[in-house]
Amino acid sequence: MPDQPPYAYTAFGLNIQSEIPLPGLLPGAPPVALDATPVWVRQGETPTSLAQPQFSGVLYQTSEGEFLLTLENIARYWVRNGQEVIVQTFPNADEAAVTLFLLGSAFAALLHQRGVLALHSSGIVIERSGEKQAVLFAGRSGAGKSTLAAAFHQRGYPLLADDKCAIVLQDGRPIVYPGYPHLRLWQDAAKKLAVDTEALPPVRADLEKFSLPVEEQFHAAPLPLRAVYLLNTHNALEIEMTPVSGMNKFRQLLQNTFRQRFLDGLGMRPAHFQLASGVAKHVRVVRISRPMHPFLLDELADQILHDLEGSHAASAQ
Amino acid sequence: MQQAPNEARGLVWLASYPKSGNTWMRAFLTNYQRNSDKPADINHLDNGPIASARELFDDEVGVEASDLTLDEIDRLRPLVYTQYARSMETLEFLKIHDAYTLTSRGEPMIPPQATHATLYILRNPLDVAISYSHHSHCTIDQSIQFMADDDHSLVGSKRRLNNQLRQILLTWSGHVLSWVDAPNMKVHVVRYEDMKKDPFAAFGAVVRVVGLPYDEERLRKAIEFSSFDTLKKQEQEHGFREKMPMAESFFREGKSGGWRAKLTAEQVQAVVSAHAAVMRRFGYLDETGSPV
Repeated sequence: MPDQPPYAYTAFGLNIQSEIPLPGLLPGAPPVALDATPVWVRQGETPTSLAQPQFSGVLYQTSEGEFLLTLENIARYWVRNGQEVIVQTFPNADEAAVTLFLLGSAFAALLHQRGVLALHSSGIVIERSGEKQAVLFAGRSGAGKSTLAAAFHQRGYPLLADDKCAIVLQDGRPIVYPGYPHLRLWQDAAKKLAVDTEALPPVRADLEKFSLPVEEQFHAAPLPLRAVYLLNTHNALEIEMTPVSGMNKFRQLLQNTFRQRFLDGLGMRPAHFQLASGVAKHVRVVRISRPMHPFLLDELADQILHDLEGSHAASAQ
Repeated sequence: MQQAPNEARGLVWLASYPKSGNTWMRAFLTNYQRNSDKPADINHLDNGPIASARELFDDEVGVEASDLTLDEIDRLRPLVYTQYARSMETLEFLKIHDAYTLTSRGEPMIPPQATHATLYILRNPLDVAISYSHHSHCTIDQSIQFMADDDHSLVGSKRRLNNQLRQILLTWSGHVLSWVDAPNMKVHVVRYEDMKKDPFAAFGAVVRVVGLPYDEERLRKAIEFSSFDTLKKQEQEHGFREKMPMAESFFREGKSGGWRAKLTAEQVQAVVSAHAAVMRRFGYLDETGSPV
């Protein structure tokens, strides 16, 4: 990292130029860029509301090409045209929190503006006959995405993204661009994975949720998308896996799009529909229901590997 | 079906302490609204799971509750329900186990202006104690303690993520009073025991209070389709997704007065002494202070 701004980082195949340091992002330029237009993260004044909002949620407003998110005592984020995020930090804000919401919802809006499918998922890399492919674990907050990705990472599978992935179509095929090189884990998930949180920074002050940097075995280049596993919990004691087909695949990709409510006000719904339907055609989607407690982490990882094996054999015939 | 021009719309709270008949009420309302020829599937009841569902919050707010502190979450919840109610074109019923409390800003977490009506479902705490112990997989003595604990909450752990937000319950008495005496909230109290004893009157009143068109035949059918036996049979055949993982079943006995056989004299005494005033107010104690 250069010690003078702008700092250069990469995530989702984007070239990020930032006036503020963004610890936890991969420094430098992307090995394979998604496109040539850089993203600027600047510090500056932001409007208190958009001139003509198409939609107003509890903490955000959207209009075509614009997104405004306000977190009291932390910061306001103004995201414009998929190219620029202006951050107005409030007095005495916790720096970690400022970065957290920047990399979370503000970057989600940025990806939406760029017409990229931001899937609410964590991703790992599997290798088959020399070819690397992306496998994603999608689901709502609390479904177990990060925990499962961490378990795969511990087994030696490279991490591709945590919490959100960027998917685009290239030559009609879905390609996943990597996210951030860290895993965010709650205290009890860390314990399950035998990760000591003592020395780890919390994602923000007052939360027992930690950021585990993934320095080794992070895959920084884009990969073809192989499969999406949709994580759900149920009150039965077994793991159930059900392949999803046809229109339901498309529907699931819509439902699992990160902050998909932003799309309407941004005017990006039609483009997103088209992208999701293109992705749905070329990806295996499997719905998983697992018990809430116990998580059955090892069994789940085994069953996913088994499913990948089986589906590979089937598609090879 | 043609809608009446002045058909009611807005958010109706189905508020209760856990294990007080809330799901039964939801099953009744779903059956009444659908007016179908067969009972509604308990795993597909109308109107979302619960007010404290994490995804309802995340969708409305635009950032995830999992990145916020418990206090920040509670301060945003009034705005979430206001936003949620704004989009409603019909009546929507939303179950809630939170006590009616004020946020750290002094605002009610459940805003009266976002509320069309409130049903508070109340059950004899002597029976709640038994049912809550099965539900939470704890002893009856523990559930009696929870019900007397002003700090009792659901999913209050800060170390892990649950699919629901933290819900402050207060004591059982505190819970009841927080809702029934909430300022500017018109609360209709329905006792579980009355739903059992005279369902026609109890559910009929509910239909009128929330502003659904009153129809006796529909009422009779909805009561039958949401009877305890129907609900229990459905759970035995297909399971119920709202059952707690460790609990044997969600629909257990569906009885009133089960405490007479199940609670010891000491346990009865503990409940009565902790909750006498509220029990008396709602007819669970007679003039002599004995449980009815």
